[in-house]
Amino acid sequence: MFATLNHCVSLSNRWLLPRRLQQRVNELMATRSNEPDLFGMQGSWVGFSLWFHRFLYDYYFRVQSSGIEHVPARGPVIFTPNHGGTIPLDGIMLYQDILRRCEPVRLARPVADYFVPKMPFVSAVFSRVGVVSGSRSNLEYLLQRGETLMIFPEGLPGIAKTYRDRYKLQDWRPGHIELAAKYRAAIVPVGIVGPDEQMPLLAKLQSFQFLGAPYIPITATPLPMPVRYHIRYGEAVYPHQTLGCDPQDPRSIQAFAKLLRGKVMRLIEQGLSDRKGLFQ
Amino acid sequence: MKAIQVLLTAASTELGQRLIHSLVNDKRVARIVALIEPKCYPNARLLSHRKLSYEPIDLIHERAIKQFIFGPKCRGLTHLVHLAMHRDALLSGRRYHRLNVEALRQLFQLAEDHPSLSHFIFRSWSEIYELHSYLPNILDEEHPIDYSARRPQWLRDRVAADQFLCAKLGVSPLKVKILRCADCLAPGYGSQLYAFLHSLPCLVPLGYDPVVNVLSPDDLTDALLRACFFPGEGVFAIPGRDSMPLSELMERCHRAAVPLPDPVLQWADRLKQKLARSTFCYEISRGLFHYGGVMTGAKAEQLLGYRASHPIDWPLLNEQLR
Repeated sequence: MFATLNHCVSLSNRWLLPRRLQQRVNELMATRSNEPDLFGMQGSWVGFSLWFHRFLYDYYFRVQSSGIEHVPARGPVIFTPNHGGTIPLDGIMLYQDILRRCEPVRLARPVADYFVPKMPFVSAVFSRVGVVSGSRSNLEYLLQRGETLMIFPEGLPGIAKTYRDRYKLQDWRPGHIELAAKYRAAIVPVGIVGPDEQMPLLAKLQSFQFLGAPYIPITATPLPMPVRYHIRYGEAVYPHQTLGCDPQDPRSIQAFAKLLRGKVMRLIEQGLSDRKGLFQ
Repeated sequence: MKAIQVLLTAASTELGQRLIHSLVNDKRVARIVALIEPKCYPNARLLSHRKLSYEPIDLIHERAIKQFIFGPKCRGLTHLVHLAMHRDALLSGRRYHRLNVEALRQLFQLAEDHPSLSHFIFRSWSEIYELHSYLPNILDEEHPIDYSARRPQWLRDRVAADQFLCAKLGVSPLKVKILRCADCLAPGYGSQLYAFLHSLPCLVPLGYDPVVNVLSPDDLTDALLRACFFPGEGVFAIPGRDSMPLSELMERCHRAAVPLPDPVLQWADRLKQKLARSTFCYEISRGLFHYGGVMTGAKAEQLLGYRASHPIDWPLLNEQLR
């Protein structure tokens, strides 16, 4: 079944992927093998994700972004955005935005929670487009090779927050800062405005789990609303260059996490104050 | 460097024969004593060479093995390469446990008391690693081991053997080298993936397409040979050169997948074992078929100088699978 899907994906890219985006994929894959990597990521599926989400990115959420020039051109990078919106469309839009606009082209590999690999079909498709499970060894392996990661430090509580708590950052997990300090990676804070209002979450059915998902959301709308996404990239920070940020010292890591959380919060506040309306 | 003298178990197996071939052609090897199961001895097609002698000995007979190890034929031996493990995943019982675990314990204890044996090399299996959604897909020597008591004996015995030797690291007079090898995709090597591809229909879990890593017989032999000449000790993850999604592996072997939901698949696999006499056991590969797992082999490359360089011979494999 997946073998047939692979052929369909390659074929569909030929017809449906615009030349400009195809060039981006070719540029990305120039230094990589066309074969799937150790996590299953494959160039043809990255191209597929570009055309498949084109409608959502260009016409439905009409993504606007600024500050992409802050992303370092080479070396390991960790993007740390806020998380929200009941379903992880913010991750998909950020993935698209980085892939389309970053110069030179970079692929931010989204880091998924532990329940994602348990989900049939979702896990297989996610791994093809570059998603990795959030185990420490997986991330270390990628950072050692200078790859780019997209980590949501709020984790599941971020995406699962109710409408009343929109744009309130949840607990900021500091694991990515330890990794960045250890592997001399840059951290790019990102503020995303829009997703927290796309599909207001009213309640969660936690006692009923389906296909590995940790809860069933009860939402105000059956589908996400076409809110406009505003993505703001902050200036890159380097924990290993920051005075007092020692990966072995939990207090200094916590202090840096607090600093980073503040940066993301400021980017969200700027985004909220600059936008003219929910759909504009 | 002084030439080594090797005692090898399971010499009549495909791997044993291949390793013997490499050892006799290596100038650093002075002598090889190859142990062979007595019932295989009359029919086995054995290599003949001046450096090589075969001894028909059943490893589960404690007295016979003790007399042999301390007898004149083992005088001067320096290395013991232990490959003997039962390969059919569906066989279980006391006899197989004695071969897999107790024979290894006894052989190791005898080797410790032997006046000249100084190195113990063991081929372990990547199947012993626990694979789960919360664990890394990249496997190294420190990856958690699957200790579940509900696993088939094939797997539990391999865990017990591996962990027995791990407990001896650094505290035994012998230099212990444990090679946790990826699935060697060839007939006669105890490969679960080969058994999976060989037994039609190929039942796979619905909605999963994990990345698997496969080792060629040439790379496996190379890793064992390098371990023989490595002066130190340790556990080494030995990956193969080919890593690919399971769907691609099946495509290369011209196999069609029959996807089933997991609970149905467990039941269907048991039925297949009985009806089609398949030696593939889904229970062993369940973690691999859901989450995948690939070894990096960084330690083996750094210390043994091993680097997977021989890809699978796909036309030959397809011929064997036919």
